Amino acid sequence: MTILPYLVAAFLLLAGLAGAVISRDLIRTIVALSVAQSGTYVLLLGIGWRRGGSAPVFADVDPGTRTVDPIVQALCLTDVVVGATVLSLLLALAVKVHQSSGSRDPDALTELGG
Amino acid sequence: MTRQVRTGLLVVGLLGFGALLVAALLAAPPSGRESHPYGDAASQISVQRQNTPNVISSINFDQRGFDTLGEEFLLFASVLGAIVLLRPTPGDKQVEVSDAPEPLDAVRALGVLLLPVVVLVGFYVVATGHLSIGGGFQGGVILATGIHLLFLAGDYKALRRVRPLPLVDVDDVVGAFGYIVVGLVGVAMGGAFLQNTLPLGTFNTLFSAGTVDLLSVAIGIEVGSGMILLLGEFLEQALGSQSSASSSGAGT
Amino acid sequence: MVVTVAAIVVPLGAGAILTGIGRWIPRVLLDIGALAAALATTVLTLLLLLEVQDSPSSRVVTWLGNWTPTGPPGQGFSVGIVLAVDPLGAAMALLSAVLMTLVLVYSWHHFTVSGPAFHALMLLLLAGLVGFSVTGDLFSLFIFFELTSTTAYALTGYLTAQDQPSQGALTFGATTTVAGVFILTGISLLYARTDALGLAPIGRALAARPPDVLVVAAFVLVIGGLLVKSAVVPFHFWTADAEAVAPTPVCVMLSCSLLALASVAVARVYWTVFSGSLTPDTIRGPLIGIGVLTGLVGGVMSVLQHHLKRMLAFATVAHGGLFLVGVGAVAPAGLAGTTVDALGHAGVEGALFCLVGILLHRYASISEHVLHGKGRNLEITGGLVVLGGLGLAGLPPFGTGLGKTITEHAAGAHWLPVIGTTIGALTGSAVLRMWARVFLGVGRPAPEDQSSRHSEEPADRARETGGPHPGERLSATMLVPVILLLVGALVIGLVPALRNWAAHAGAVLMDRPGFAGEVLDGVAPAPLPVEHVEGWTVERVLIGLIAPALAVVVAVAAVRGVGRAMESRLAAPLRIVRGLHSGHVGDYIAWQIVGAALLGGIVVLTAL
Repeated sequence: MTILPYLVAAFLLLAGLAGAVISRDLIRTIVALSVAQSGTYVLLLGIGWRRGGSAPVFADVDPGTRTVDPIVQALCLTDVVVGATVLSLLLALAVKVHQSSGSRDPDALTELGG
Repeated sequence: MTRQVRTGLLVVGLLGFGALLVAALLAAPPSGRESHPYGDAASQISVQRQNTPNVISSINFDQRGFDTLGEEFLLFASVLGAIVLLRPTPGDKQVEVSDAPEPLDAVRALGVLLLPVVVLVGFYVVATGHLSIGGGFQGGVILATGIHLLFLAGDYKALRRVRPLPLVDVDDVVGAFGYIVVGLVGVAMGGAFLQNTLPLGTFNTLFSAGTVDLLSVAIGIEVGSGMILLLGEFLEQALGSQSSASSSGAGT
Repeated sequence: MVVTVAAIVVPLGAGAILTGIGRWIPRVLLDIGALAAALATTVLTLLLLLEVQDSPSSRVVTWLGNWTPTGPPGQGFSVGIVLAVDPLGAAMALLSAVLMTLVLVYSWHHFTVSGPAFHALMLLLLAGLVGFSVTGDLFSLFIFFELTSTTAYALTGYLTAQDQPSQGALTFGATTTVAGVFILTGISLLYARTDALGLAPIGRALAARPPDVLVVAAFVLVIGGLLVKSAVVPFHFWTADAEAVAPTPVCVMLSCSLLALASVAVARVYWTVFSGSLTPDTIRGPLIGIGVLTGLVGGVMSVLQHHLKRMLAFATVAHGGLFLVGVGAVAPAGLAGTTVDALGHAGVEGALFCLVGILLHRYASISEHVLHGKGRNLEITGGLVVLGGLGLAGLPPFGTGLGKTITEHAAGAHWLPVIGTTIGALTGSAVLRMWARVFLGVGRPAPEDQSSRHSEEPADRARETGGPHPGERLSATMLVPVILLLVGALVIGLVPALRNWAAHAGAVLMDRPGFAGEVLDGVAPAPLPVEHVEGWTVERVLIGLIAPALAVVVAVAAVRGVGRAMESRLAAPLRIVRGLHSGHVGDYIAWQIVGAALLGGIVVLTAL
């Protein structure tokens, strides 16, 4: 039971990577990368979990209550927002690729090869 | 490579990589463990020394504030990059500004009703980031997406009036630069860059925790404007480019 | 202390300000503003280097926000983030700032921009590079890695009016995002094991027990992610695609700064974090092996290219392989070789990219086929290309040649000089062959192939520069950086103090206990003994002359069409290697996964 979060994270990571490789549409490639990133967030949060711990915010609770690890939450928080914007940048690139070459299929976009 | 070769390579790679990863995870301390020394130290310092009930905000804006500076500029760069990439180039066909298909009346009503609520919640989340769950990042996203309820409610033209992109552009810069300015406050007061040297106030009141709230507001401005710009660029690209007289964004 | 922070914050702030006011100021002010910021950063990083040199322990440690560690010696702890600058870090930061300054001079006025985004993104890239070099925290390293990557994607795809840049930028973006995912996963594993995010505390905690599969996995993930940036096989596929389409100033930053910094970061992360548990002899073999493979693949691919920027990109990959050999030599002399080679390479390759950019500026093409004979009137440019090509081959006394021999001797294997010579000969010959065809017009024109067919720039408005003004003979702002870069590469190979400094810097970087002690306990270690590395002995000069000589021979043969028979026998394997560089993003990511799995397998076998 206690390794379930880790296994879910590993699954998301591997599934995302796999999706990015076999995708036939650049948008799906980028979304697959986002899935892989979610895997890393699940991993971080799973690592930081403390059984029975509450949220690390002491506005309403006694200082001294057991909480989960705030460090990983802080890391994930900024990462989620920033990860979304970086992927938007990639999506903008995908939009440009579609505009200029008319296709979103990686198989058809091998001009730069060689 | 052909599709088959690629898939074969992928399978081989995933087997090896997956085995390594799972083996490592099995060797890791199990989830739910009791010992979190770094986290507990951060909590204690946040509550007892820095008067900040929201430990996560204390970590993001006080203890590890420099990383947040980096993340903020990462966001700034992505937004700038997306604007540059999506800027209309000569030769793009000029599309008439259109709206998305007409939404249902129920959606429209909900959108109009929710808009002020969401925006207010957004401001609240940003402003009280140091007290309860929230902060600049979360609040900024709520604000940005809240304003786009106007779009969901079917009135893209109204949205464009409410969020003049050049103004939002400047806001983005103000937020980004503002973080640095607040960081320099620490230097001005004789401490280090990003040191929390403002009065720490009373625990759990609005004006407490020193610079944490200020930095949270700066981030809120930056993230909010950045998200609006980002969504705006994509919407403009999809629904119609403006004429060059009122072009959007820093890239034009 | 202040200088370290300022070196990062100044370019960040300047980038933000330029973005804000850029729309309302004329182009010349934008150029001046960006150049001023880059110059300021150069001064700051220079001051930082001097401060590091003055420090008895050769390190400058700054705990940000004054979160200084507490606790007894041996158990120092802090919740904050540290910037820990050692000589190599400061040198890499200085290199980035100098390159950025020169590149901004190169883009002065001619480079077509719309709005402040180009200049702002370049400054943000610089901030990311400086931060990447000076941080002492693994998560901060990841953030600066992402900052340099993101600005790089946007800059690579900058020429949006052309068809191809977005493709190159997208493959670049996707593969580096995967690298970022690897690194973050590795950091998570390390946090789970050690409950720390700083390089020093993680290293201390890992050294306390023998390695297990978790440590190996974390090593593969973090180092593997960094190796994507250092363009090492099989993580290198993005390099040629991105640099083929990126604007010339961006190519220089990618090839000459980012690559070198990533190689140094690999060394830094290994030594401060993993060296206590994964002993040096376990990673020696894998790193040297990968380095050699990269060098050969890069060398062969660069000869096969007729697209000038792709040619140079593969030359970069080849030399990046040599950098990794130096890191894998796990000795101060090895790092000295890498540093000298990296500095020399930055000068030579930077100059070559700028020279190709000049050709692009004047003739709107970077195809060896189309440019045949066009450069006949550009004597100065041609002469500099020859110098660059010879420098790439490691002609004494260029820094590239010196670094190569130092690395080969440090790594100890007798067959390494053969590899080094081969790499130098291959990459140098490609450039010299190009020179003969373009600037002399001799021989038959290069064959037209798929990649070179797409190296034409479309109509005027989409070009990287606006083209030369009527009557413009020499583009001074474009040539001056080239000359400075080549002179720099020569000076680096000539000054003896530099190679001894580099070895000392390597020793400082390798000193894990000293690093942890100084960062966490505030206990500065005793100064390390002065290192002495051999330089240009007669034997080394003679061996160093072989590669350039071979390069000339191969170039002449290629131009004359000699050796067709050999080429046709090699055609099948060459076609396979070339075919692997397909431009398909799915292929590249698949190779990254396989590469990580293979590296993991090898390290598991050697370490456990």
